[in-house]
Amino acid sequence: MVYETFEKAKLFRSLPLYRLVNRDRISWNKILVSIIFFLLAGLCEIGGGYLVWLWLRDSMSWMLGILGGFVLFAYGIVPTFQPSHFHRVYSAYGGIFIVMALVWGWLFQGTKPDTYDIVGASIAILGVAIIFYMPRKNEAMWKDRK
Amino acid sequence: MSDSTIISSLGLFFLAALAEIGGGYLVWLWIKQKKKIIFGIVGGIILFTYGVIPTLQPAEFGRVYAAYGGFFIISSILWGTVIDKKKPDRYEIIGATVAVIGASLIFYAPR
Repeated sequence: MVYETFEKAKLFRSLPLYRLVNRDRISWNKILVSIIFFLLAGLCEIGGGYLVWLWLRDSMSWMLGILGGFVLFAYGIVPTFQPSHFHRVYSAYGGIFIVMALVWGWLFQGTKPDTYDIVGASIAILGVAIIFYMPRKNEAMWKDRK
Repeated sequence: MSDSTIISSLGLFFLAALAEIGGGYLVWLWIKQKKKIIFGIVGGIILFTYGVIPTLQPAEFGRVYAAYGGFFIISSILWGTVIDKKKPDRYEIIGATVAVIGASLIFYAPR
């Protein structure tokens, strides 16, 4: 659906990236869906961890701690929706984690990311993209397009 | 940070990675490998424990967590090698190296 919209644009079709991806039969929709799952996992991890934090560090109700436990359990379930190997999904998630840690430090500890942070995080994202999105033969992620 | 807080912080990171990857792995076995539900439950409890660990960290951990991300990437691939017996392929090795360079830049940059 998203992919088809992009495919209609001539400019998009002329991009080298498009040609590379098309040749290797990568599905844009699958990439998009996997990114959404990575972000969802991040949200569950931070949200669950924060609820546990409120319970133990800010002495709020233990019910928040229990709720946090369930959200962290959900954090363990989300990666199972990714059509890849355990170690590949988890190592790729590490890159998302790096970005989240910087955003967290910025919002809650007031440490604004500097140039090193931004360059370092971009390099890290490039690295995990290589880990996760390099097409491999005969793997679920790349088998059929769309 | 003093030396002892750095050491205890590193120890906590190690524990965190173990709980996060180990707990996640048990949930993964339950859902993907159709193991008994007890795997999922124990995995959930371990993940809950993982949520407790950061509350033990000293307040100012800021960028250290970004470094933990790099540590986490390596640990996940090692977990695959040792526990799952799946040797990292070429792209996993290249990608992990690139990602760790990025994380090190964040951590070691002269500020």
